[in-house]
Amino acid sequence: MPSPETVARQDLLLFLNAAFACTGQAEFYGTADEQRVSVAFLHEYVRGNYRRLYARLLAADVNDFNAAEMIFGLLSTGRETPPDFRAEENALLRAALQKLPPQRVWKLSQRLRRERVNNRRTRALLRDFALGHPDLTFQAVKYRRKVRGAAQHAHLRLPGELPDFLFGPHLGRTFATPLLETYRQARYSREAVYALPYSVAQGLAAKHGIEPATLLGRMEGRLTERERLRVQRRSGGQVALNPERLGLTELASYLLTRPELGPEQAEWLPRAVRRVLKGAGALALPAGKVAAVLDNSYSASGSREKRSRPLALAYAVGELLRAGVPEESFHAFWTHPTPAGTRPRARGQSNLTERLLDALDWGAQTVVIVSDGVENDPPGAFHAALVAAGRLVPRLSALHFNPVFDAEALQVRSLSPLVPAIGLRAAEDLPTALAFAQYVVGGSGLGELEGYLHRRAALW
Amino acid sequence: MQVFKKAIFSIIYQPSTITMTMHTLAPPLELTGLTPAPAQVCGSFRLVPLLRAAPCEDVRLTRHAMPAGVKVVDLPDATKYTAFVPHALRLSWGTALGGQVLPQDTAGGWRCVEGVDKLRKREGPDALRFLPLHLALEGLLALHFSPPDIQWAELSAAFHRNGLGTRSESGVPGALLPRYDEALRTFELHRGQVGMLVFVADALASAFVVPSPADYLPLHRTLLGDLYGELLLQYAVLYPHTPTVQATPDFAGATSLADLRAGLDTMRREWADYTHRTMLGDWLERPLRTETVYKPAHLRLERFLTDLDPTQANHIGERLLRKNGEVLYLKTFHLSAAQTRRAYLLSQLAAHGWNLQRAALALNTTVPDLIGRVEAQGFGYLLTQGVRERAVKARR
Repeated sequence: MPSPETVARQDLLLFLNAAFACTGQAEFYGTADEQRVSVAFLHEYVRGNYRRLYARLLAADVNDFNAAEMIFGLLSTGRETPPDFRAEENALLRAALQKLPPQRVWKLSQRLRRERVNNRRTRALLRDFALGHPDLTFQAVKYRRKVRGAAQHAHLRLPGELPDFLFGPHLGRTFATPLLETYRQARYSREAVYALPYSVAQGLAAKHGIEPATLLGRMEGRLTERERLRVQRRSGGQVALNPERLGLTELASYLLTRPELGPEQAEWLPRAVRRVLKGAGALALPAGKVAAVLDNSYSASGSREKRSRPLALAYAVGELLRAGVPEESFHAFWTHPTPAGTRPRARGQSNLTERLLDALDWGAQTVVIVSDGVENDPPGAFHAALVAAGRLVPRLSALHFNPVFDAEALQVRSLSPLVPAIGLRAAEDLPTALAFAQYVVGGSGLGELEGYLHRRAALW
Repeated sequence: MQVFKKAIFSIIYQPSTITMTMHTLAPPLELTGLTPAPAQVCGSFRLVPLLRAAPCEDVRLTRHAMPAGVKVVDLPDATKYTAFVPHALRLSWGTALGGQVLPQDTAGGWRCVEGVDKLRKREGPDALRFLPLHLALEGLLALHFSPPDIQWAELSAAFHRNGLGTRSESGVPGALLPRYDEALRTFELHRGQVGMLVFVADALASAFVVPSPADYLPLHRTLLGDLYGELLLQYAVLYPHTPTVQATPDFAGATSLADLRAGLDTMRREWADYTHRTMLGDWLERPLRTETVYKPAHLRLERFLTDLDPTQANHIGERLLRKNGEVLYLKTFHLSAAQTRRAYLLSQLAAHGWNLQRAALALNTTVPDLIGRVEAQGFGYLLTQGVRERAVKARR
């Protein structure tokens, strides 16, 4: 029977990998509901059994969806916090909430309200977040309903004209705050609409009969980076994209949708890769030749919610490794090879074993696999091939990064028990994931893993 | 309680003569020129991709621009064939073929009944339009449709005059099979895939083969609109999970990477072998009854029927063959047990020229019991009332 330590370590790794990869959105093999139910169970299980560790994992760079899930879970079960841990948990919650993007926080407040979680700690957290926000007026205009709900739920005393703006009548009065006054005027004036945040203006534009294209043309300078990305196809080249301000995976996703790349666009990805490497330092890879086995089978096309996400991740990881490893000691092997200089497409079956053998033939000592872990041509051959190759190739190491959480199996799926998969949502997290991989693959004890997480929390 | 709407196909007689169909005996079905690749599993479905050994360059099968709907087809022998037709195919042959695909049709739903000129219609010198699967289904319905040569007194006057008159059978549209759409959606098409074997709870539901991978890609989703045997709906509901079959390659003795690659190739060969021998069951030993329905150029379009052994699963189908036996097109339908029993009874009676004594002797039963069976299968109207009443008395 395994020791409690081993079980705890396994549970912890299982949860962490899920929390890195799962975003509660539909995947190729499963719906959004399946994902949410499955990951919610994992949260409840880990929170119930390892509460201290669970709270500390907030500092382990889990993705925003899971961070919000954890904050909600911790706030709704505050009675179970040991008294001596209360201060630390509060500090972790506060820091995690600050780190979340504002829309996530307002969504979380909405959920807290819906599920009637309204203890003193929740109110204090929301109060500190709202009143400590540098531009609450903007938030109140952009997320009006949610801020209103949060103010009601947490009994907030909002500063200035905000209470009047959120709760009072707008008829027959003016606001001294310019943005609030613009919002009031936008009900009656077309011109005022263009001075609002884009998402708010979109709603009011319909009321004034402003064409979406006109709105976009007039507001081009006021869009956020995400909004620019979102309207790219619709705008027909009208809205410029600032690649410097987009994440590596987002950029890769966007470039995959382009029919052709211009000479300037072709430079975007290498530049983004250099930026990531500059920020993170050298990649923690063993010495020797490195091969990437990248999955561009049909399942890499993702779902309607995560269009081509696994493919974009594999593409970005490939580029990152190409830049991070000396040129002659790196080679990428797509499951369905693409001619040099072209972008991969998600087509065909998953023949990972064949590509593994190709990589070993080329002389790889480290094989980095990016795949959803579903192998079907033929199924089950990867593990056997890896075991056999371990005997033939000295110092062979393999790492498997998986962008997909398997809702049915409650974990990110591994190709072989020898290579536990590591959840990875964005390619820019690869340097951190490589450091984390040592603890997953290396069979280190629970203490070492906790030490690592503790160090990360301290950095945080 | 969920109510499933079955799709019914029927054939109605109008005065004329009916030719006897599917009388040629043929060797068992072979997937000549095709190699099965490892299966992919989703729910109760196991989908086996079929790859073509040598590329086919002179025959194309594309979707015909015919909207879906209930169609009535006038058959040359003055019978009418009625069925829901989800799509039609266009077969074209010749050496100078472009990769042209006709524009997709718009789904018409169950709005009206529409007349279709022929089941198979020549379109130009090197093309043929036909309704996939309905070739085979029509063959099943027309089986032993005509009255016997000798006017036995036991048989009703209507039978002597009209043959079977009206005959209908039913199947289940693929869209009703739970999770079948998901299985088709998440199926990862192989490069060079030209066909698919569909297993439901490890029973062969259908085999579908087209000439080239470019043809298969747009036709992959039409599998969902096709008709399947009723038993398969029960299987899909009763056995929602099919275990994955994982072959473990034998790499123990490998001393080099080349050995590993050879091991992988062996494994693929064994997969193909396993599919042929184990998953296809007794298909490879069952003789077929076939009928050639069209001879485009050097090819042969024919429909077939397995030997109607009531203790085994039986299939009907249609296929397009080259002279050397290479399968260019194949589509099969799994008969339910009742459908098999009906077809078997008809074929036994027809084999003995509708002489009830001889047929009863061959079926190892008595005449009254045979009449009971005929009535139970819905063919009582072929016998006179007096014969039926006497049989009831005798059975008491």
